[in-house]
Order: sequence, then C-alpha cells, then structure tokens
Amino acid sequence: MIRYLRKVVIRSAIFLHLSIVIITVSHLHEKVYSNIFPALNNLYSAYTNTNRCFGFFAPEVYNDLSVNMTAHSDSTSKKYLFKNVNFETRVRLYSLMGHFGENYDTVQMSLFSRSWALKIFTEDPKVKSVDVKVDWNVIPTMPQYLKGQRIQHSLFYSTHFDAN
Amino acid sequence: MLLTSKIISFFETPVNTRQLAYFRIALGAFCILKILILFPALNDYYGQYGIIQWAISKAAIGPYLPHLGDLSNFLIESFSISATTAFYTIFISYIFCLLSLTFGFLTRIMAIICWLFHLAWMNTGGAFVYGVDVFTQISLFYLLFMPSGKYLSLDILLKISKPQKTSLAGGMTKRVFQLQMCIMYFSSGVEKVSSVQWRSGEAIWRAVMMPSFKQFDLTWLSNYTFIPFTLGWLTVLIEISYCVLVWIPKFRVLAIFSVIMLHISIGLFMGMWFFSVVMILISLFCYGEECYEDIKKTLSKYNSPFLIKIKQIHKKRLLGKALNS
Repeated sequence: MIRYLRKVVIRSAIFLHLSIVIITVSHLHEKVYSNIFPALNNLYSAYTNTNRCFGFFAPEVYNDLSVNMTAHSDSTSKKYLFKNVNFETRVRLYSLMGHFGENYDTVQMSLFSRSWALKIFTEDPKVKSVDVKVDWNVIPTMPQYLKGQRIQHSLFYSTHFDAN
Repeated sequence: MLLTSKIISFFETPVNTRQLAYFRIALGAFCILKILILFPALNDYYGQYGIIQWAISKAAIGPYLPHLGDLSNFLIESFSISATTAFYTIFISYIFCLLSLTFGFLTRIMAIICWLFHLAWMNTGGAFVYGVDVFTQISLFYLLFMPSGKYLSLDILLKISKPQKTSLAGGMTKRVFQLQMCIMYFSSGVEKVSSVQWRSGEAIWRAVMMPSFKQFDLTWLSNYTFIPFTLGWLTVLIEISYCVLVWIPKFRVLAIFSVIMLHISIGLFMGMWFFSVVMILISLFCYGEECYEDIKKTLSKYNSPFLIKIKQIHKKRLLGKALNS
C-alpha cells in the first residue's frame, strides 16, 4: 500500500512539475486570471528556477547600458568605476545594467542609483556629492553601419545625490 | 493502456550511478570555480554595502527566501562577530559544503545545503543574476533527487552508504531533466524565430557589437550580412530541433555537438564562459552516456571488417613466427 502510494505521489509530482514548466515557458500563466496560481508559480520558480521564460537574448537583443559616476569632494571630482576584475565580473555588470533598465521601472532605477551613491559615500567620507549618468549604447543596424553610422550613446537616466 | 505503460517505462528507466557521480563532481567543482572567480570582488557584488545593498536585495525577494543577510545576522547574534567576519564565514562554509558535495561526503545532506546556499547567494546578488546562476540552481535542484553518492564518494569509502550500480530515482530525475532541457531550448528557439532581429541576422550582429560583450572587432560582418543571417537561423534551428534530434539515435550526437559548439561560440564571442560551461555540462549529463553508446555502436559497425582484417594479419604473423622458431 505504502509502495503504491509512493508511486502515485512521485508520478503526480513529475506530472505537476513538467506541467508548471510548460505553462510558464509557453506564457500560459500570464493568461490565468487567478491570484493563487501566479503566487504559487512565483514561489516555485523562486526556489527551483525551473519554471522561467527561457529567452537567451530572445525575442530581441536590446541595447546595453553603461553607467558613468562622478564623485565630487570639496576640491576634486573623480570618476568612479565598479570593480571589474575579470571576464565574469564583466558579464555580471552587464546583468546589473540589464536589471537596472528592466521594464523601464523608474522606482528600480532610483533604488539602484541610490545604492551606488551610498557605496561611494561609505567608501570615501570626503565625497560630498555623486552624479550618476546611465547611457544607452544605440547599436546601428548592418546597413546603417555601412552608411557610416556608429554606436551612439544617448542618455537613459541621470540623477544627483548630496551627502547631506 | 499501452500508451500509459509506455510513458511509465519511459520515465522509470534506471540509470547508472556512475553518471550521477560524474555529474555531482562536475557540478560541485563548477560551483567552486564560479564563486572563486568572483572572490576578488566578492564584497562589492555580494557584501552588505556592496553595489546593491542587502536592504534592497532583501526587499526584492519574498520573506520566505534565503538571503545572506539573514544568515549573517544569525551569526552576528549567536557568536558576537563582526559583519565582515560573518560574511566570510558564510563564504568559507559554502566552499566547504561544495567540497563535501564534490567528494561525496554526506552527499544528500550537502546537496540540500548547497542548493539553499546557492539560492541565498543568488537572492543576495539578485541584480547580477544571469543564465549561469539559473542553470546552476536548476542543476542543484535536480541533484537533490539523485542518489549521486552511491558511486565514487567518501560516503562509500567511510561506509556511510552502500554502493549501488543503478538507480531508478536517478533515472527518473535524469529523464525529467532531459525533458526540461528540451522544453527550454524549444521555447527559446520559438521566441527567437518570432523576432525579426533573429530572422534577419541583426541579433547576431548586435550581440557581437554590444560594448558589454565585445571580444573581437567584428565590424567587418556588416560587409558580409549573409554570415550573421546564417548564424541567426542556425541558432534557431539548433535550439528548435534539439528536442526532436536528441531522441533519435542517428542524430543525437549531431544535436549535442551542435549545442556544444553553440555554447563554445557564446563563450568565445561574448565572454560568457561560465554560462557556456554549465550548459555544456548539463547537456553532457543529460545525453552524454547515450551519445557515447551511439558513437560506440557506429564505430563497431563501420570498423568491424577492418578490425577483423587486422586480427587476421596479426594471427598470420604470430603463426609465421611460431613456424620459423
């Protein structure tokens, strides 16, 4: 009896797991008008990461963002760069900027930039103010590139923080 | 009824525990490398006052999810240590657990701890998360259900657990993992083909031109638009066909080889080496043994007359030597 029940539980778990994965990757979960399902789906995704929409630069490869920060003290102004020590940190910083611009969420952008400014203020107490400027690297298409157009940096977000 | 039993037998196929052990070792070693490469900038990326402070990363996740901040607070309150000491204690504990998992010491328990630890690192550095973390977490999740310590482990050496040749639980988990990979590649391929960028090859062009990823100067590609166009379609084709070809013995090696080459290209041209390695590792675990069997079968089929001839020549020589002597 226990053996039978165990079998039923395992088979049901596999069926449920694969169903959740398929529902999520096919975006069917977005069409479910219920409060419980999205919550459960998110919880399951948060722990297992199996039910996510796997895009890998799909549908589009978006323009990447680059951040420029300037720390101003009483007498000097210097550029501040995030620690970028190897190929992996380079990709991580790309991810950071991807999450920064995600869904054009200004609340998220404000939170991130505050966090960066706070890091600069904590590292150097002499810094009085910080300028944060995020540029969008607009990549030309292949025909545009052949016509002479090059990568352009257009302003995506900018803000200023004072220590006081 | 026949279909049901076919489905059940498809899922309930035992697997060699050797495969599970190799996967455990490879995944454990990979996780160690993944965290060690970030060590020079660890405090900046995951520290309390790093690029994204703990207060922000904690607020972004649910209260039920593990976070390094919670662990750190627990250590500070329990042992009256500084925040920095607590942070590096967590780091050393994580490395220790990963080493234990790799060597197969208290394997199942270590698999659970490593899974939770990895989740805590992911949640803390949520702003830096990308594919490599997602697929490592998925792998660690599936490893929870595999008896990966039943072969080549300290557990066997120390007689904590008994060796086992095959495992049904391992086989079922591997099957689910295989299907997960098929679903994942297929959905990714479908998403790509729905986009004009991928159909025109612009996606490849943009990926190699992005300042964040640029490894080589490939601006000359704009003169040969057929190259990005072909590569774009090839990527879509590899991803969409993966879910079919890996189940056909004749094409399985080709499918896995294509996917490996795709990921090597991602590493080479975009610098995403860790992502490439984890994807290759998963594909090799899911279909490596089957590919090995396919290659062996093919070789034995094509080489048998040749081998027979060699054996005959060898026999004649031995006979000649014996007669001469």
